[in-house]
Amino acid sequence: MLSSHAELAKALQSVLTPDAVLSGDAAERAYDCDAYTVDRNNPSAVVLPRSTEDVAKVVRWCNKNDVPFTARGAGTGLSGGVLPAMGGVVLSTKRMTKILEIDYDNRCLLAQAGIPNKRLSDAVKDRGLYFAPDPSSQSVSTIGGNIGENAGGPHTLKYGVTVQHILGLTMVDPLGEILHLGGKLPGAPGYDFVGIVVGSEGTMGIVTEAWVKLCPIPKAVATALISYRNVADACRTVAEIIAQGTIPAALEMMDHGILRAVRAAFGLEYPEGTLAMLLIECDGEPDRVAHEMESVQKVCKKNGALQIRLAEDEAERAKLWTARKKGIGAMGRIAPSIVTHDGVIPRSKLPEMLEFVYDVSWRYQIGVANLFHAGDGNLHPCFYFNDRDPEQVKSVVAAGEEIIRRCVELGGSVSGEHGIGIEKVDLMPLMFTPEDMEFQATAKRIFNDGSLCNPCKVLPSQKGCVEHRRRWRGTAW
Amino acid sequence: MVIPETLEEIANIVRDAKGTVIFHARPQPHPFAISGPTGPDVVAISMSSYEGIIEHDVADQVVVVRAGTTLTQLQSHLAITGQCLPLPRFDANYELATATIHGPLIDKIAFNLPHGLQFQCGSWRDWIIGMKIVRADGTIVKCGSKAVKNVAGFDVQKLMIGARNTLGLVAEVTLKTYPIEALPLSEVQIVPTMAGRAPNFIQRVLPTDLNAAIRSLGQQLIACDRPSSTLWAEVRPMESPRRFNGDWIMRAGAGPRNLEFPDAALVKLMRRTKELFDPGYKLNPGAMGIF
Ligand SMILES: Cc1cc2nc3c(=O)[nH]c(=O)nc-3n(C[C@H](O)[C@H](O)[C@H](O)COP(=O)(O)OP(=O)(O)OC[C@H]3O[C@@H](n4cnc5c(N)ncnc54)[C@H](O)[C@@H]3O)c2cc1C
Repeated sequence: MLSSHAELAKALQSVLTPDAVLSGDAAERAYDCDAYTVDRNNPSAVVLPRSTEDVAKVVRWCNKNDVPFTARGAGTGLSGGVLPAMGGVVLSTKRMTKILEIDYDNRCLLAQAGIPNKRLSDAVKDRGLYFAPDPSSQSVSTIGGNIGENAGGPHTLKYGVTVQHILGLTMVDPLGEILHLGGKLPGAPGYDFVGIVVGSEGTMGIVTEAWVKLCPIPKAVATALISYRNVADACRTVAEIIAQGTIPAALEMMDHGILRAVRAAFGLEYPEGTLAMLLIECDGEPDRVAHEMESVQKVCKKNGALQIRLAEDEAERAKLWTARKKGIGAMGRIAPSIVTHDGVIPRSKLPEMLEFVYDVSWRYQIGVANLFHAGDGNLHPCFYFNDRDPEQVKSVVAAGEEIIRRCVELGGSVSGEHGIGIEKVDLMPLMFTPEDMEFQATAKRIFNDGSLCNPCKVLPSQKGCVEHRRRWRGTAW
Repeated sequence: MVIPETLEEIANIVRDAKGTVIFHARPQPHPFAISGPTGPDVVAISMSSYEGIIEHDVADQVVVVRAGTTLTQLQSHLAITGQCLPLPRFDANYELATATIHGPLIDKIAFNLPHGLQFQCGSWRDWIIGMKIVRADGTIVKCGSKAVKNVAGFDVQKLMIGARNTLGLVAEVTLKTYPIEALPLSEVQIVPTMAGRAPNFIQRVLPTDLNAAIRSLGQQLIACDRPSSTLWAEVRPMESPRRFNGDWIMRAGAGPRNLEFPDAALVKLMRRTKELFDPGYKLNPGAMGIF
């Protein structure tokens, strides 16, 4: 074991180049957490590889020296996935942002893992194509990070999550071997390794390149904002739209907490008495879109919509989406801190679940606002509070846990898109028995038996994590 | 042949088996299967009695079903409430596209053959949101949940799809259903003179190679799905149709050549996977052709 951080950084400089290693206090602090800031831990050094070969060299070096390592994309994760739980090396993909090949005819593209999601779509836009997964963080979050978390977005309902759009991967396994999984065509016989690696939160290896699927940009898009007197009417609308056979591209809900913030921040107007709003988007062939929007509106009216606002043009469409996309940001203007939770329930349980969220917020006396992917039953209760007040922070954590427990009781999941990371590692037993988790641990061992690759994430009771945890748990409190 | 009726019975049989366990989903083996060993040590389990729908949540469009249930049975049940699995309709012409349309789910999931709506509506990998699995030691485990969107834990169920029950026995599945109203039309084109023929060769090529592949299969071609660039054909035994860069194939009736894995690194990884999940090589040995 190398004795000091400086020594370790120096050794890594000779593995790559001096400019590819960051070390020292400032670097350590800059890489101690992701957008889940409650838990933090410093890495010993940060490396900035440029290629698959570079990554493999660093990983092999880490193995030889028994140093833990963690992959990091843009660090926008919301469950502590990039926290270097046992210290060691953070491998940042910041310099791996190249598009390596575009195959327009076969509608796929090969890129390095550090490229921001949105740049993929930008690169092929003029050929009428795009990369469908659209997490709200897409202007910065990387394809490697999207793969790590199997990220979703507002358009997941119709187009699926990241895994549906990843065809093949180049990955450096935890021992430093380079693997090529999948290819340009989906569905090949054999074990589905791409399927298991996507969503494994960087614990099965470091993805360096990916073949992604490109989709044709829909010919027509129609977007509507619909106001309701209460969340129950809005929830019923959601269930009915889907039950009648329409699959909108997006079906998002905002409650009054979000609406108030968005009104204050962006001047969004809505009728007096509005307590919930739906954003519904249909896309595809023009005829079909018109037909779908019509039947959607019928359902909305039937369920007591106060107002239906259809976007007349692209500019208005963008304005309607502002309310949805900037909703959380708008919350930031009215509270010093916000924490966004992530849980899933079967769609039909939405009204019941929202009641519960409001009740929890009232009991703990913390403000809550909800803005979420209603079509998938993926809830994002967003608590606003003052993080300088330790009592409030504790309440927020406790309230979040109550909500997640309830999601599981209602037949849902502890996470719909933000992942387990370290934030929810203790909640895994709510969903899984020790045998279930051992089964998952078996899958992780396909890629290695060791414990150096992003340790302490996803599965609880990994070796040595309990002692280490004392160092990082709640350091922000 | 043993025909267990409960999950516990299945688990006990698997646990106590001294030798090999072979899962027979249907009276005859699946046409695309590679047959395994025979002998006194082999325990053959038929899943035909472990069938039926456990739960169908109509509003949430989620169904939990035992793996011995036939697809026909499941589709008829779902149709009552206007739902389905988005596989091509039960049109005689489409039967060939899936080869075993009337077979049980366990077969369909184990073989994961392409179908005529795959490009438009996805496949088992996209529809299965949860699973119950019997492991090689008889332990019963579950993956996923009933939520249609879920990133908690590793998606081990994906590894089971297409694995021909060599890593564990898929005993129950939780599936997302699809509204029949929203079902797109399949674009599968059938060669009229070949209608009703059973394919023994499936090939998926890059869209840019599709026309060449169609020409190369010539008279042997039965059907083509352009959106997913998939071809179904009846090729003469021992004949090797032309291969294309990055394509893949599956065969029936060619013995161990039903599956081919030319990439040595991939075979190594598959072997390691098999050893981790089934260290005694007990479950369906031979079924993947490489171990
Ligand atoms: C404002 C905001 C909005 C968001 N909206 C959404 C949303 O709509 N939907 C959604 O799903 N998420 C959302 N997120 C969460 C987050 O953006 C996603 O999880 C995203 O996929 C993370 O990408 P990243 O590049 O920042 O990854 P990081 O945070 O850097 O890493 C995430 C995980 O992936 C691993 N990882 C990173 N790179 C690699 C690699 N090359 N190989 C292997 N593993 C790797 C890491 O180890 C870590 O476990 C949002 C976050 C913010 C801050």
